[in-house]
Amino acid sequence: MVAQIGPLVQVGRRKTALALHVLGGIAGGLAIGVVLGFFGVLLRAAIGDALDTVFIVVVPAALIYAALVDLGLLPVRSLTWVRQTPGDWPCSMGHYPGIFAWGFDLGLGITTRIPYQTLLVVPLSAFLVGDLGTAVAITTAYGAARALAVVAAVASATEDYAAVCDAISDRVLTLKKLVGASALVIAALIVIS
Amino acid sequence: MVRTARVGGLVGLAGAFGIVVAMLAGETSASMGVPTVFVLVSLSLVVGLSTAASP
Repeated sequence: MVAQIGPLVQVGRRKTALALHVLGGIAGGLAIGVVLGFFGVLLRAAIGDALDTVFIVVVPAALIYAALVDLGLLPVRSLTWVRQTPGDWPCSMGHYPGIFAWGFDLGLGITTRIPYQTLLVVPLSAFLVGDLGTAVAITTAYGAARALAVVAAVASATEDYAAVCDAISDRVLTLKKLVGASALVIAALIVIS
Repeated sequence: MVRTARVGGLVGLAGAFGIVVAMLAGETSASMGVPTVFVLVSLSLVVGLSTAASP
């Protein structure tokens, strides 16, 4: 994404393009949060406060499973799909709408390739929390953070976006382990709180 | 140095955004308190900020 959006922000207004990407990420996270939150509210209406017990058991268990996979301690096939955000959107939709749509697609979180298994726990927890506002908060934070990460990478590059991508790629395994370790800590915090 | 400060600023902005969102959502949530919402939002921020290279 950095290699794609990087050169594009040189064409138009850089700040506008990056702001639209962040807005797209926020909008994507918000949209998936509304959907998951709605179904979570329906689930809460169906099973009541038992959903809290389900949450306390399922989410930490999913986090531990995801952490073990991301840390490389559990040699199982990762759950993912091959779809990536279409690179031709800025051509087919227009420059700024395409950049916004990239943010939206990535902000949804579950429509593109899953780099870390811990990512799957984000929509799972948004659904099982059984509260619309909390679900939106969880997924919007993800969408905004993912878009801001792209903005940070583009902002730190001096037109050599391929080098930034290489630098990030070199750290993918480290990031994966960092995410896995964070998942373990968060699983413990959920159980404690 | 400027670039590092800019990246740090963006990451800090994401963190501040997460804390504010967690506080707002936690106060309105009937079953989940602010700490639990903050933990979940933190998870989202960690995963989101770590996926810049992924298309």
